[in-house]
Amino acid sequence: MIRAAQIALVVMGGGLFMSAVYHQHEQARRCAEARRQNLPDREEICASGSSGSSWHSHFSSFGSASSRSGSAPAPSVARGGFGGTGAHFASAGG
Amino acid sequence: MRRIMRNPRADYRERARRMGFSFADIAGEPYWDETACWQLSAAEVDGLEEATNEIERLAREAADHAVRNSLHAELGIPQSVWPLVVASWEKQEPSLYGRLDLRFDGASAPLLLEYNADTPTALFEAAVVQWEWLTTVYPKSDQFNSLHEALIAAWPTLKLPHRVHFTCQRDSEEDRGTVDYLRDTAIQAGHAGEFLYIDEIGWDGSRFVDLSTREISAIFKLYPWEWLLRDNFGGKIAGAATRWIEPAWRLMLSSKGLLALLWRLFPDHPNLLPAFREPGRTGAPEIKKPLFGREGANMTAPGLTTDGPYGEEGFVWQRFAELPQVGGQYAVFGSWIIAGVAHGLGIREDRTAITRDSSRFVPHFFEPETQS
Repeated sequence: MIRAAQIALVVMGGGLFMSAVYHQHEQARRCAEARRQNLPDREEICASGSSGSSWHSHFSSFGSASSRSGSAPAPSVARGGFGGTGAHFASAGG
Repeated sequence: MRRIMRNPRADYRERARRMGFSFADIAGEPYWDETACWQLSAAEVDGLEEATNEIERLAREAADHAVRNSLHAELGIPQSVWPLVVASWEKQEPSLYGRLDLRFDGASAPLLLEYNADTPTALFEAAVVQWEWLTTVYPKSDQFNSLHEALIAAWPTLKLPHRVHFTCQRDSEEDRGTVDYLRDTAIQAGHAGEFLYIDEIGWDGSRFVDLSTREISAIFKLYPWEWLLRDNFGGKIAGAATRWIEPAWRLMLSSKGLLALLWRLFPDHPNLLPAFREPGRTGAPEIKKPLFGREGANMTAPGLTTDGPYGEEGFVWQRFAELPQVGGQYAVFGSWIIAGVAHGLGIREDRTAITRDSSRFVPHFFEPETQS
């Protein structure tokens, strides 16, 4: 299951990019599903994750845009990955 | 020792406000309670200090034993996170603070009820608020309390980078107050201390970062390890360079499985109560405690049960040693440890035998021994 907190959307250079966190998770899910279904191209699907193609394609386009603008690419930042468990409790103190 | 009833200072709420003690009342009920106080003797304070240092020694020995023998199951720690705990112990990452909850009646040796080794609260009121009370109410007396000075002295020993972040979750005034106090001591020790809420911590693909996308090199978290590791970012902790305070090995001591491990390693120790991971082995009435419970929740003692959300990791059964009851109140003695050494005392009272988040903080003092 992909939780909302893992899907970090960041706006950079006018484009909308999903974070590496989401893509790695999504890729792992796609790979597992391909192997479960024994798809003919399952190893290609899984390998595409290890080479980072789906994530890389987003990053490449961002990098190109950055190069044109002459600024260094800023990494995407995912937030909200801590605090989920504690949200069920009033206090963390003991 | 004795419990003394006295009229509270007329302006105690104003004094609390001036000190930044924003949770003197919690949920409309007094939390700071100076309608009573405890008077101890110097010998009793010495006994508490000695027992605290002894239990700390035993606890660290037990932690080392647990690491050497892979006792994660006994402590209720999942095997998947054990390497993180072991690595933290092997590096001997320093601890800042902890609190032993002790049963103490002034006549027999202090007994360990549990060790709050990861996210203890009630620190600001023990270190600052009750000291201010002492200086105005019993100015010629003393208090088992060098917490503030010890905290400031402890920060440099942690060997942290200059900037230290501080975090807790939202919506708990007590948690935020404790974190702000610790941040203040770090700043007084020369650190740059910056606060952000736990859900604001970012991950940039290889590092934890703050709201300005600066790396979080070191962070104090008032958020227990068992929650951190369960959160979505929990799996990233092992691969990041961030120093966490308290360090991951404290998970071994904050588990109440420690109580059973201590009893197995040091049976009949005068500061320990018999405790096991199974019921019915102490040979006496027992209290059942969840391994990773907090604030007295999900406990079962003779004639008393508390509710709460904890217990899925398992339980420990400890011989039930009822707290001494004075003036209709049960008191638990919270003995503070800073950087591994006993440094102060905070007493909390409740109308029931189980100390809960609603239990009140009551100040103490003692008369120093006169020099002959």
